[in-house]
Amino acid sequence: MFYLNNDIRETLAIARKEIQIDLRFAISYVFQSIVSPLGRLIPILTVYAATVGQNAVSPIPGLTKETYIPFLAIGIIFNTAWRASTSAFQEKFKREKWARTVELLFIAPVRTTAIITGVGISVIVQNTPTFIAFLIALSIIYPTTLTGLLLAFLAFILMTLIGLSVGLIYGGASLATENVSPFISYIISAFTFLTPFFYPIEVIDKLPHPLNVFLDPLIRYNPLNAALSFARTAWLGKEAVSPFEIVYVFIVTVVLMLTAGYVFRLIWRKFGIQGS
Amino acid sequence: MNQGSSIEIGHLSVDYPLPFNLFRKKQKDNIEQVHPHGRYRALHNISMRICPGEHVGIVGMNGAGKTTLFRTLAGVLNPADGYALIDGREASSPDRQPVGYMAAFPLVYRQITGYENLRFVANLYHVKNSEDRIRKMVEMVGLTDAIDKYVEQYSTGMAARLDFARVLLPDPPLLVLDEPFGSFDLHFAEEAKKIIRNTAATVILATHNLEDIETITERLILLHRGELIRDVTFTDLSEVAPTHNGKKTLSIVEFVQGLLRRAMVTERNFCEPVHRKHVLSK
Repeated sequence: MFYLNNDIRETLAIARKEIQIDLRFAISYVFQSIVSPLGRLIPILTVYAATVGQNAVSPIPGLTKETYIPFLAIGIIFNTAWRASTSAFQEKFKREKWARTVELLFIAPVRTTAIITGVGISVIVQNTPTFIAFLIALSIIYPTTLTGLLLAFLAFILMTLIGLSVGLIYGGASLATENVSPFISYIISAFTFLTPFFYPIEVIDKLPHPLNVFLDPLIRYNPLNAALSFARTAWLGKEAVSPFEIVYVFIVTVVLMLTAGYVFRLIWRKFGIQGS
Repeated sequence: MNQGSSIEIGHLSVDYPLPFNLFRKKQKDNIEQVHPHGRYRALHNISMRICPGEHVGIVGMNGAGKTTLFRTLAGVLNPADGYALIDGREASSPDRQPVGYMAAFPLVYRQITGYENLRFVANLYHVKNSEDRIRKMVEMVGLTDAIDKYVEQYSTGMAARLDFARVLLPDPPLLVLDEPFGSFDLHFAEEAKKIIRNTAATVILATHNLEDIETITERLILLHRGELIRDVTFTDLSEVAPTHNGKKTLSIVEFVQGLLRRAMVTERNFCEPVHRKHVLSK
């Protein structure tokens, strides 16, 4: 109990410090977190509005005139969470490494779990304005039930935790050697592409052979796709949600969190910090 | 006040990676001769035991390994070989006693205020009655008027004072101080030395100032090229000061070189100091 209290205090101290640093330029911080996702959303929304939105029979499989806006809104919320969570540790560790303040964290008798959770909380807080803004817009355009909202939120949290786990390995690598970081960033980019944030999974069938055969299982069994699909189904409420999807995402999240913690400690023990 | 920590270092070696260089093929053999492990060995086979409450001065020329030793004790670097224990626990373990590590540059966040920095440290180290303790530290370092300003607005000396408050805030049983007085004004430097001299904590101090060694410490360790060359306990520094031209030396350069000679370093592979007269004024 004593250790738990200390861990919570350390975690909250790290989260608070990260948020204070982020809020050094508060207006820029809040605007960036909303404007940047809008910048990614608007071009796709324009294309979909001109195609799906203008036709009674949608030219893009899996989307209809009624569903394409909530589909994209959920996509942008999850995409923003994914991008922010995968890059959070790398950005924060790199910033602290070159400012030479990272040593302050590592000289303190603090457990790695407190550092990870503290930074994680600050990322969730960082994403909250985006989440709330898009959620309000989505609720006006396509209202859902309380159950739909809660299930979508559960999927959002799980995706953020997956992102943070991947981001922790990325962050650990950038602390140890920045030469490895680009390779991890390419893997993250590949996963982003293989996740249907902005396209329905049905379009894969329309791709030329053998590209469709190659991509289909990679996208279908991608845990990020399962989280996204679960959230969309729950929000739209047109079909029953699949418990298999959320159990699958949950197991992947737990395994990834444990693996990332282990890999981070391994990198840290073996290579330490290079560049500070 | 905490009782000081004990330190046990055994056969400690610490490595750094060599710079990545695509075009060093021709030099490769030479570099590997100097660094047989393919890495730069900054500390080599260091062993020492420091008793609780002992005040130890570490001297050595630039690149001798003082900062590497300090960063290892602070838990920032991991040993390549051997061990560094603080009260019987590994220096890098989160379960060890807190270490008050003052680096040669201030370990403070510039984007937040001085108070927020100290608040953060108080929470990390679970400082009891933290508000009172923070206020006491702020008054001690004379930053009461500036504590709610961003650290980026501080002068170099003010940032160093905040760093000093940060180090003492958790009342650590071990102080590892890497040339700590350089940025202080003369008045505060004297105050800081008085505080360090009177602390019950174990102190390890790196300095290039013999007077600091004499007034603050009672034991002197000389590092040279990553190796421990001399380890002497003294009551009067002149007892261990080497003679130069028949006189006891008071220059740190001559002092270190004299100690190196007395340690019978078989290979004298460093340069004698060059005496230049009025070079800058010409």
